[in-house]
Amino acid sequence: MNEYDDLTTQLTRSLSDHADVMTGRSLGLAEVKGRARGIRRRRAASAVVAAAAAVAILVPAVSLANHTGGKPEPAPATQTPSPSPTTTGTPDGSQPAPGVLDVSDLPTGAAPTMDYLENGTLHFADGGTGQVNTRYTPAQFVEMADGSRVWQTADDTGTPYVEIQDTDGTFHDPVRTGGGLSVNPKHSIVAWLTPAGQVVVWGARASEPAPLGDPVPGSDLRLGPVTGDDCSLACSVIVNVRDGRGQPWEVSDSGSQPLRDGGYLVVNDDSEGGLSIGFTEITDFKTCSKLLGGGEFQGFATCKNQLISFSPDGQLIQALPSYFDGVGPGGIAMYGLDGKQLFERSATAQVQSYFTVATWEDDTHVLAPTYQDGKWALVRIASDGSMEYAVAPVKGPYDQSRFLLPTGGNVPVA
Amino acid sequence: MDRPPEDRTGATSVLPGAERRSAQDARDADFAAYLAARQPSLLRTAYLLTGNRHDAEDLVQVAFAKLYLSWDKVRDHGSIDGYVRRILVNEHNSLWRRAWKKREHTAEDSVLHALDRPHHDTTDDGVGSALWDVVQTLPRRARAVVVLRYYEELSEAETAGVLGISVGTVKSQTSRALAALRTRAPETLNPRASEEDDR
Repeated sequence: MNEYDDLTTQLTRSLSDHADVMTGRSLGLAEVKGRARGIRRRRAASAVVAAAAAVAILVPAVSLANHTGGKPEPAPATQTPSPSPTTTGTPDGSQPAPGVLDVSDLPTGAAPTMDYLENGTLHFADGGTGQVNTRYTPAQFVEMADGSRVWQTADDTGTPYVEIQDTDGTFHDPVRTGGGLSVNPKHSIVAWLTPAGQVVVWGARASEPAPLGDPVPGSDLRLGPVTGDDCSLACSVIVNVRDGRGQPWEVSDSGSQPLRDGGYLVVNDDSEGGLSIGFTEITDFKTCSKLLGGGEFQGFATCKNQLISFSPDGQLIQALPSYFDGVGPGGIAMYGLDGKQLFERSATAQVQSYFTVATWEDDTHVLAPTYQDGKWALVRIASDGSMEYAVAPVKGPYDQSRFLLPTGGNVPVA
Repeated sequence: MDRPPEDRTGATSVLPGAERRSAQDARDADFAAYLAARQPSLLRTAYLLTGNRHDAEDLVQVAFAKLYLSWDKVRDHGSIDGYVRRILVNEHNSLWRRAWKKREHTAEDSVLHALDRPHHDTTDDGVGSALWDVVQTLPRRARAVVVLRYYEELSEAETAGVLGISVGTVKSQTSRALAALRTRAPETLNPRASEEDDR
């Protein structure tokens, strides 16, 4: 028996030994049927739930930035964009203590100014609703500049697919994907990965999706930013390889090659101004990030937060805690390009909140599906740290977000 | 509106409804028999994937619930075991859950750093535990490949089918997982290293 045989034999024995001690509690048919009913309900397109949004539109205008409920808020940093009073608010609720991500009793603001999915119903920014007619269950979607939508869906087994919905509402046949969609800032190119690591792009006058570059080697591939406006001219897609070695790849029509610029382990976002953010160190206990500067901005590094995405105008950076676990991030921060932290809000032992993905709604606000106390709410967070409901809290299971926001947010105004 | 068929006496028959209930009962009985038979095995696989009892039980419940929803379709096509195993693994790897378990990302990303740490367990009794410790630090997909290949003893092609990846990817992930395990494994699995150390 050679060394290899020894290892695999020992491995099989080890797995069997550990598996054998797992007896677990007996699962009955009633429990399975109950869980199945819950899954079926979530899959089904729900009835239109627009009451909260409708109420929000009718209320008097109050600046989100000024609506602090009498409690002090961190002052917006100077020389950074101020959150514009985009919202109308009710006198209900109040701002939580500074620094705390407490969304249990916020003022109600305006409805989201971007389309979003709530329990299977598509809510449009103009207040209308529509049904989602994808073949499988939506997990992510992107709105394209030409009015089409690209969905990532999953079948009953969890196998992911991409479904392209043309502007007339018709769907292309689903195609298998390795998971994840990424879109360029102008929303003219959407990219995904096949299970074999091949980047596929679609948009900007293309009738069908097309492969870009060569397949990226490695396991656990994640899409990074997409640059360029039209892949028939030039575009590139960053693919992060999260296999422990941290070597991002740059994929373009010239081929695929390791990205050496910047010394990133993971590239999170590029701005149209030529700046980039990503991770430079990842350990069990922290993640360090940097902004790679250019022009007037020298760049900065921080291990206090993970730098995640640029605002649409490229002037602010959304950030997450350096370390987090559990179901979702329990904190959010924003930075200016000069490295100044504008605010940070975090869950606490008393306030157990978390969100799924915070998506830029405009240059100074993000929307985040946030869970707390058994309810999901769509929360608007401004660059001064003030918060309000864009959709009021509704009961829901902790591990199933009620809301799905479009990746990349709104299509930019031309 | 459709009316229920009438029997020869002209009275409204209750048979269709009863038949439906009967068919539903038979379906449930069928499923319950499968549930009872396969639950222990699936739970063991789920435990190897998740590494803890609570998550394993939750994962198995979701897998069986999704199987229940598709029971008629799957039963008619056979290969129920493959189908439910596929649900189990995909659910475990699901993007939504994985995306926010940042703690696990960082654990995955630090695997190679962890593998660099010296390991001095040389007793036979420690081999199994040491391997299990390393298996638990593998990235989810690599771990799924290891579990399917070396616990479920599926072929490379079968593993590829369950995970929805190519055979080549299964091979490369297996190779890298074994390399990681070998690096971290006790010296008894790496006799040449021991010999070199003795010199």
